[in-house]
Amino acid sequence: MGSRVEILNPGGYRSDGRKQYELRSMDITLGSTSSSSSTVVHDLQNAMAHPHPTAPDGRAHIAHGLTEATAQVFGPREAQMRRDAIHDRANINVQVVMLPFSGGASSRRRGRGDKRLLELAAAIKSTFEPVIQTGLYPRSQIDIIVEIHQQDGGVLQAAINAATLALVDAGVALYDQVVAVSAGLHSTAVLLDLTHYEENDCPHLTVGVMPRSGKVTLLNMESRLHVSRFEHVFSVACEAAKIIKGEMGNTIGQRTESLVSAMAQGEPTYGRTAAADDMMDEI
Amino acid sequence: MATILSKAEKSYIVTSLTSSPPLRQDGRAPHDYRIISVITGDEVAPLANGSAKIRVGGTEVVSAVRLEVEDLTSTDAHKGRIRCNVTCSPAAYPHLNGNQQDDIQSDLTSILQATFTSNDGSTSTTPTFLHQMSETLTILPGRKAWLLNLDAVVLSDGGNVYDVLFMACRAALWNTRVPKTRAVEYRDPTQKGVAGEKTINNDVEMTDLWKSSVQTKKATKAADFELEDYWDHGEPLAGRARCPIAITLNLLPTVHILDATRTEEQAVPLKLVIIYSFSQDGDACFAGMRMLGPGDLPLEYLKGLLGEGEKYAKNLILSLDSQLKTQWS
Repeated sequence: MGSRVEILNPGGYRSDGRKQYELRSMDITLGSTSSSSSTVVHDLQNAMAHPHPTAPDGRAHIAHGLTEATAQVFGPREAQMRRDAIHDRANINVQVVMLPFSGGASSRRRGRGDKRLLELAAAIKSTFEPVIQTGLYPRSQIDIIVEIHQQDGGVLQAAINAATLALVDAGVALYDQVVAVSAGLHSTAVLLDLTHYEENDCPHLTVGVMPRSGKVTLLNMESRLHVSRFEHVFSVACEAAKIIKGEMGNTIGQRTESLVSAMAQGEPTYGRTAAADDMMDEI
Repeated sequence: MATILSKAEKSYIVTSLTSSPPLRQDGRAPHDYRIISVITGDEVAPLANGSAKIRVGGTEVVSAVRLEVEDLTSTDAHKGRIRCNVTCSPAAYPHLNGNQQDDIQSDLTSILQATFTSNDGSTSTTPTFLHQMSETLTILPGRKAWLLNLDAVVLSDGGNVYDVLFMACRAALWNTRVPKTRAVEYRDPTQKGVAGEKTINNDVEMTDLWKSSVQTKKATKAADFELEDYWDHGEPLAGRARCPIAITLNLLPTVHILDATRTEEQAVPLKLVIIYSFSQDGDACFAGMRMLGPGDLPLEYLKGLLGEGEKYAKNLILSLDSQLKTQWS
């Protein structure tokens, strides 16, 4: 590797071999199956035999390339503290945790009160406030807990997409599914779905879009970008959101189908396969 | 801890456990574990030097080991240290508020830290696993050593979190590879006629100098070190087989159950956490004990429990190790 990796080489490829507008590969797991990707034992049989009383109502895991996040939704449920209850709508409570070994810039530990985490949580909360039909759940509370398992750029994007999927999985009423994507500018070229390396070098923004209505609920930019370039970057990002929405829609469809067929047969159609590989002998 | 069970449910669980034969909600015998799934290595935490994820029923703990180089001052022991930390995801305890979650986190951290950090004035005749382990962590005796960060994250708690936590830590330490290092000494060129400042990139030019300027690990004057090999070809931690394991016994007056689920923990709140460490030839060492929850225990009964616990721990460690050995030699 040279002393300096090019963000976009003359052949039009980025440092990880993607084209300008290419997104990283996505992997989505919906529901209470084990968190990370396919290598994890899907211990469904076991998990269903022992449903524990504090399991989340909705859960989703998403991977954008090397960035991985899990979101879990609890509620709508009774507000834990009475002062949090709002008389005509639900209170949304967002917490973000970064695993200590998730990498990225934060090799140091981030506790519960860390400013960066609070900022992320506030961004997620303000994204979902106009999207969740909070008026349907007066005096209740919806908790969204996002765990960042690995970070390689686009943490906010992964967190929002995971939260959307978890809310869908929990069956919370939404006006639309929010889809977030990050975009950056390298001289005049727009790049989509930036890695950590690219984020360090390019001005970038994260957009949260409701693809059906075309409305934008989040626009987050922490770097400087010339105003004449902004519109182009923004419109490309909004287009990209539709692609991600398609992927998310497919996964939701598959999940719903499997649930429907499970209800029809009275028995789950998934699982009962991989468990034997990683199972230890029972003692 | 907030209650999530009604009185009737508790009494139902307790009555069925004390009936003969004892009955558990999921049909296990009193001393059965739930299915334990283990994953180790890069699939869990690619950035760590060793990592593992253990799932037992609804309980899931990820543990990872990260090594960083630490300068030792003369007052320190000449060995590497272990620093433990446990984080609980808020999703593991959704019915608790932030402060209560922090309390659980520091409880778990303290038991882990107490078990994995020995006081150096240990008088025991046989070296503990910590001594063996910290010898592997030494880079330059008295100067530099690896600081082993053992981070565990409780992703969800479906009961029996102590056992799962210790299993995850054992698996992560088992999976850890310490990078091989080579001590390097810089010499003043004017003194011995050898060029000093050696740069690693100049392999060809410096071959002769390399030999003369590199000292073996035994050299006490070595000032710095370099990595010998790539990160994934390191050595396993010495004494990893002796890494402790916890057994939680949930106690009712006449019986005890293992691997209680979250609801059983609520109904049977008195628990005894015993931590054992096993030597190569299978001799049990007692590494710690906690009695948690309300109630007391006759002394005679406790003595019996220690023996029982050893038996369970031995079984658990056998099956865990057999799994770890298949995943990574």
